[in-house]
Amino acid sequence: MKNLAVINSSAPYGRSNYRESIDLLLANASYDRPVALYFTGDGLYQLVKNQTANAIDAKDISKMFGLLDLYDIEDIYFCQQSLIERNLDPNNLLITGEVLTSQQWFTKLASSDQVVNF
Amino acid sequence: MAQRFVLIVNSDPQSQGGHSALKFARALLESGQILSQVFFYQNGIHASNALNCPASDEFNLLEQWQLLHQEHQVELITCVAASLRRGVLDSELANQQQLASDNLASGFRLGGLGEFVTISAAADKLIQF
Repeated sequence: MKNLAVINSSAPYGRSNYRESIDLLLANASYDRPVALYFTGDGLYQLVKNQTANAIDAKDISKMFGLLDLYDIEDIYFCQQSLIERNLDPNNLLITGEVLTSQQWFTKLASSDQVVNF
Repeated sequence: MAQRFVLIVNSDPQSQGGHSALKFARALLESGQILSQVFFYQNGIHASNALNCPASDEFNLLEQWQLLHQEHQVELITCVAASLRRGVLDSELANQQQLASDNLASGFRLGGLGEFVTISAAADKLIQF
């Protein structure tokens, strides 16, 4: 069974990427397929705490990310450069992940069999 | 040796991505590769709307996907969750939801993400458009 990396590179709410990305990720995990989740660029904004999604009639994103534990998804990676550019503290996000330098990021990603980007 | 490919089409049919997916699929088959599945997801599902009617001097993407299906029996799967949100339904679902009509184009089949998982997990390459 080929493993799959899902990259979240777009900000939440403006488009449906953030929802349909996690739907696809969880579907794969539910078939016991090895999956990893990567956050880069504005995709990291998905993980900011205290979002009030209901103010724009959107679903609460933190509940969706709470499911990662349930599905045993542990391979979660953050792009260090993107965190710095956005002044985001990796220890103060909705979920924990491993912070990767650009070099580590590409090495890790290159070890994936398949990749989809949202 | 021939490799097994799966294409996932997330791009709107009006975008270059939606069009490139078709070109890539054709190129794969012409070069003797195996195309196990084309999975339409996100706005990509609009490609399977039977009510698409481009002007007569414009490229008809839907017709071309259908032709590819007829010629090569390629599985064209439209993600059911993505298409329910966006209003592309087959007759069974339209009846179930008590809607006035259905509009899934022939040659396409509604399928769950599970179908994508099982086929792509066994494929050599996954290409996203």
